[in-house]
Amino acid sequence: MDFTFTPEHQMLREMVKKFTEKEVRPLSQKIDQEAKVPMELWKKAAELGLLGIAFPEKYGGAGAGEMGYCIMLEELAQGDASFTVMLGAHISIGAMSIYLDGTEEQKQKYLTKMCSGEYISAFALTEVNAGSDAANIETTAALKGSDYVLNGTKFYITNGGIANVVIVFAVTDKSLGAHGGVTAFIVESKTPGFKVGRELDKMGIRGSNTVELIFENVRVPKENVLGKIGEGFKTAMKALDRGRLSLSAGCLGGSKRALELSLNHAKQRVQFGKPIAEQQAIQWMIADMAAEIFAMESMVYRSAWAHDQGMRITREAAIVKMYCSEALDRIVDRGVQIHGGMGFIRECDIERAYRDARINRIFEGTNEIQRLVIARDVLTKGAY
Amino acid sequence: MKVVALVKAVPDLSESRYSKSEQRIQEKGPRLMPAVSENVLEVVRQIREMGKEVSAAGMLFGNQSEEAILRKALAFGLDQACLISGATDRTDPHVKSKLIAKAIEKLGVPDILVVGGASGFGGGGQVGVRVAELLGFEDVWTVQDAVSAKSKSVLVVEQGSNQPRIPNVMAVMKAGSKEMVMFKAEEFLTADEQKPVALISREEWLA
Repeated sequence: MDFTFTPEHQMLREMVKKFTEKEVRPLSQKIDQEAKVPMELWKKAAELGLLGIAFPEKYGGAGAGEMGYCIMLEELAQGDASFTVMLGAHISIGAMSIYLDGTEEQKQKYLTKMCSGEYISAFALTEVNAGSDAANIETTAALKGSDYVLNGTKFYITNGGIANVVIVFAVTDKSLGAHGGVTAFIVESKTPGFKVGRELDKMGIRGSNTVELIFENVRVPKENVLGKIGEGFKTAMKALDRGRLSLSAGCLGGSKRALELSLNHAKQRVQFGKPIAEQQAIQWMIADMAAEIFAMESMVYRSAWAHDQGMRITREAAIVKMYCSEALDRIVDRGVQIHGGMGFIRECDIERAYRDARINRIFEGTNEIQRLVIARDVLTKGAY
Repeated sequence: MKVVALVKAVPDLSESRYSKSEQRIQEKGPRLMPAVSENVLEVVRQIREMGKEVSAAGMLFGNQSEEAILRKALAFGLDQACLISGATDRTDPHVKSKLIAKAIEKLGVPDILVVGGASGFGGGGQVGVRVAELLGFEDVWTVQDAVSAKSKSVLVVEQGSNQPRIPNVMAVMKAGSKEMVMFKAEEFLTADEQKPVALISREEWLA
């Protein structure tokens, strides 16, 4: 077994780390306070080719594979969670849906612009009454002439208010349910009837744009059907498999940063005549954090490697997402505890990390859904 | 126009320790590219942006294990890299300069040679001017950013003199497949010729 990263991946890590330290981390507090990621930062990431990292060169990507993509998100997450989520939603589920199931024409028309950063993408599956229960989608798409006409409302859509292109999942045949009755569409936000509803005021990842999207007789040409009619649910699940893994890479990065912040504090904070890092109670927390980070790192990169070898990773992605998001929560919680009263104050980075972490157990499929996916897979295919 | 950049490899001083008894640094871990080499590569990048047909190569005098440093240099947008390894001594600036000059002659003498000043490790900062002398370059300029030169020139770039830009991810991913030319020191100088020039004291010099 060879657990070393390739020289290219090591250079990539070094490069993104530099970008993170120079451009992203200094803005993190501002992004949280103003609840907005500056577009200048998006442009800088685009200039470095980060937005196309996971896609082949023929679409303007860098061809760094899932491994390279996970390395990038791990490093970016050590700078700012909101910006990481913005990029993650764009690449993992927005652009990825087109890459996975789009026609060559659709890839040339949309994916190339998503790789260059000219287009921001979003993925609109969730609705008020259809979150984990995706089969309960109420947004409809009816064929009228050569267009599909979309009506309905999507909720909790990351990047929805700033996206040029949104992948929208709508019911084309209610009688067939999720498998057979839902179709994916590529919808341009400039299309008449496409409306951005209210922006949601969140606990964490406050700089990430999360909105309600309203579709009122939005006409989408037939050529913008993504994948086959009735197979939208498959597209969504495939993209979410990828999203779950990269989300976990973000959790890994967030955890490493939380440990770093905690170590810095524990070495400097003197109580009872010595730095608190010398107290056993603190050392136990540090040990638990380091152990969980080791487990996260191992599972993220083993799964990314498996994906790049062409293996299907549905079970692994669910396990990794469930474990990493929960481990991140435990790690930032210990981080706040190590920081003491300071960890509860807004100006302290660990306070923001604590709030930013929580969403990971919810989005990209709640952890309860991940447990269902894992258990069903284990029950049908056996443990290992 | 052809440009060659000299890239350095220095010990990781956060890992290495100074041995008082041996009066030298005991190196630990792989060598790294120092900041001054990134300043050099930024100047090369600017030269490329100034002219349409610029080919740029990076050259490193070191060990074969330091290929990763050259790969990193390639990620800054160079076309080709060249590694000179197997020297019996890598500290003496005189020997180092002779080997580099010979390698450059074999690779093809460029129009512009970009070198770093003192790296903060050896601190000599002699190699650039010595190579210029050996190759018969008449102009040596200390620069912060790219300049246009009419004759064959050596540009010396000091650490911190410019703001190196971060390489593009496409260039990083392509760096592994770019051409790497390998030279052995013995191709150019015998072991005797590679002996360091003996250092003499001030008193000996004055005498």
